[in-house]
Amino acid sequence: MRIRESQALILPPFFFLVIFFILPVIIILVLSLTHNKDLTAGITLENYTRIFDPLYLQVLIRSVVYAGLATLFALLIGFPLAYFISFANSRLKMMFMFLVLVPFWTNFLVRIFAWLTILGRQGLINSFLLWTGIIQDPLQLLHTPGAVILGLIYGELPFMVLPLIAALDRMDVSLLEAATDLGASRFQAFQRIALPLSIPGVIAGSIFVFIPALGSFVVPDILGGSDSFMVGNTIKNQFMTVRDWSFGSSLSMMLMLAVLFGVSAYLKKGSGDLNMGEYL
Amino acid sequence: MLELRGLTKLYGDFPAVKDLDLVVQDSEFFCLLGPSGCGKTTTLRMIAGFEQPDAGEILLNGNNLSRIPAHKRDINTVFQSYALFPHLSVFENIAFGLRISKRHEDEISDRVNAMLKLVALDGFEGRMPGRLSGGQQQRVTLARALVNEPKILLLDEPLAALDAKLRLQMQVELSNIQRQIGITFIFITHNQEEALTMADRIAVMDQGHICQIGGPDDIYLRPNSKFVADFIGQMNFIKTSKIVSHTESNEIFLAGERSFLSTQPIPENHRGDIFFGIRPEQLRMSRSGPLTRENGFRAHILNEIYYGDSSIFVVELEKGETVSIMHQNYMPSGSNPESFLEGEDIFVCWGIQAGCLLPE
Repeated sequence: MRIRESQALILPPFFFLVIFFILPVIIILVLSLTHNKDLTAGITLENYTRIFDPLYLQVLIRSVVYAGLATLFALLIGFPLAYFISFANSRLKMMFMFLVLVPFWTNFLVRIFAWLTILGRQGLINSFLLWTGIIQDPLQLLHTPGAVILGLIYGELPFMVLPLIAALDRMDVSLLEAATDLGASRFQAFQRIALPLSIPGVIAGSIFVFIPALGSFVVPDILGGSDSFMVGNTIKNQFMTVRDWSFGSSLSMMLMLAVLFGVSAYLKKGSGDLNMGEYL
Repeated sequence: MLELRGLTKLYGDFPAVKDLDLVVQDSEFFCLLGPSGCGKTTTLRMIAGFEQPDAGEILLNGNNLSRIPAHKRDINTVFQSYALFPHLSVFENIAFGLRISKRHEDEISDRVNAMLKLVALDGFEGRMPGRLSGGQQQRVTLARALVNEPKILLLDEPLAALDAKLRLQMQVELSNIQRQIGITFIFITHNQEEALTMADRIAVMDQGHICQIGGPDDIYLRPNSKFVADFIGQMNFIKTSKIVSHTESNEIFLAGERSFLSTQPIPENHRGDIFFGIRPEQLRMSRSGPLTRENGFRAHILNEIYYGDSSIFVVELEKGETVSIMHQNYMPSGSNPESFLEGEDIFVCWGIQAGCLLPE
C-alpha cells in the first residue's frame, strides 16, 4: 500500500514518541511488576501493594492537596491577570505578555533558589518585618508546606495565564456589550458571559498547572522540609538514593494513572456541565 | 420621543460627531444613512450608552440619559456582528434580558415563545447559535432585543452580512415587524436602498453632521446638496456657470454658451459652484427633438449598458458633459419602445420642471 505524503508527515513524531515516550512507559510498567534487582524472579504486585502503606499514601495525598491548592491559587491569581491583559490595549498587552514570559529566560532551579533569599531567616520578608518592628523574632517561612505551595504557584503561574488569555482573546468584546445592552451589570455580564466562555481556558490552564505540580520534586526539595515532601521526591529517592527502581516505577505508574483518570473525569465534567459540546 | 441636542463626540482631536441635533418620534422607523466614517455608528453607540458624548445631551421622553448607564436604558441594540452568546441556546439567548430582570419562569417562557413566533423561528429554541444560518442568527438577535419591549430598538447595519436575496426578504420582514409592534426603530446603514425601502424618515450623515432629514421621497427627489444627491441613487451632475431668473423659470447657463430652462428653485446662500442634478430616469432620448416645456441638447451615444428590463445609455452632450440615461426596454402595453444604437446622434430631452439645482 502506498503511503500518502500527508500520512508520511506523521512518521517522525510517531517514531520519536515510540522511542522516547511509549518505550520508557513500557519499561517502567515492566519494572513496576518485577522484583527489584531480580528481573528473572517473575511477576509481582508487591510494589503496588506497598504504595498503600500509610507512609506513602500520606505523601501521595499530600501531593494531590499541594498540587490542588497550587492550581486553585494559580487560577485565583491568574484569572484577573489574564482578564486584565486580554482587555488591555495592544501595546500594554504585548508588554504584559512579555513580562509573563520573562521568568522562562532564567533557569527554573535558579529562580527557586532565589526564593531562599526571599523566605529565609535573614531573607527579604523577615528583614523587612523585623525592621518595621511588626515581629521581634524571624518567622519560619522556609521549609514549610506554605513555601512549597508558594513555589509551585510561582513556577506554574504562566501555564495558567497563557491558556486563559487565549480563551478570553477568542471572546468577542461585543458579547459583553450585548449583555450590558440587555440589562446586565458589569458583574452579571462577567458572570454569565465572560466566565462561562473562559471555561475552556480554565480547564486547559488547570491541567497545565496541576500535572507538573503533582510530579514536582525540585520545589519541595529546595523550599520544603521533611514534612512537606511530595511524591516526586519519593520517586526520585527510590531511583537515585534507595535504588529500588521497581518501587519507584510502581509509584510513577500510579501517579500517571491517577492523573489520567483525574484529568479525563475533569474534562468530561467540565465540558458536560456547560453543554459546551457544540460550542467547543 | 428621542431627542439629540448638540451631540458631540471627539476621538482625540477628530470630531466623529459634531453638534448633532435630531428628533425621532415614537413608533418611527428612522434611518441614519451615510458612508463609513460619517459618525452614524458613534451616534448609535452614544444612544445605546456604550460611548459617552463629549458635549450635548440625549433625551428620551424628556429624561436626560447622560447619567444612565447602558444597562439601565430602555433601549436595546441589534448588533452588526449579531453578538449571540455562543454558549447559550436560542431560547436562553432570547431569554437573557428577562432573566436579568428576574421575570417569572412562566412569563419568560411565554414571551420567548411569542418572540420565536414573531421572527418565524419556532422549533429552533434548543439550537446553539453556531448551528444557525446567518439569516436565522439575525432573527435571534432581533428577538433577543425585542423581547425586552424597549422604547427604542437600535439596529447597527443588521443586514450587511446577508446575501442580496435574504437581505431583501429581511427588509420586508423588518418593516412588517416594526409596524406590528410599534417600537421606534433607529436603523443605521450605508446602503441607500435599505434606507429608501424601510425608513419612514432618513437622516443622511456626512463627516459627523446631518446633511438632510426627510422622507425617502424627499431625499430622493429633493436632495439639498450634491453630496446627498450623489449618495442616494444615481444622479448626473452638470456644472452651471450662470443663472438668470425670469418670471416663470430660471435660465441655466453652462460652459460653451449653452443654456436651458428650469423651474427648480435656486439654492440660497451657497458657497462655491451650483450644479444641475438630474437622475438617469428623468432624461429621455429622442430623434425628433424636445417637446414644449422640454429642454433638448444634441448628443452622441457612446455606450449602452444592458440590464434586461432597462438599459443605461452613456451619452456625450454637444460641447461637453457625459450623462447617463435610463431607457426602458419594454413597455407594459406590449408596444416596443423606440430603440437606439451606439454611435447614433440624438437629442437628450428633459422637462423644465425635472432635476434640481444643488450647491456643492
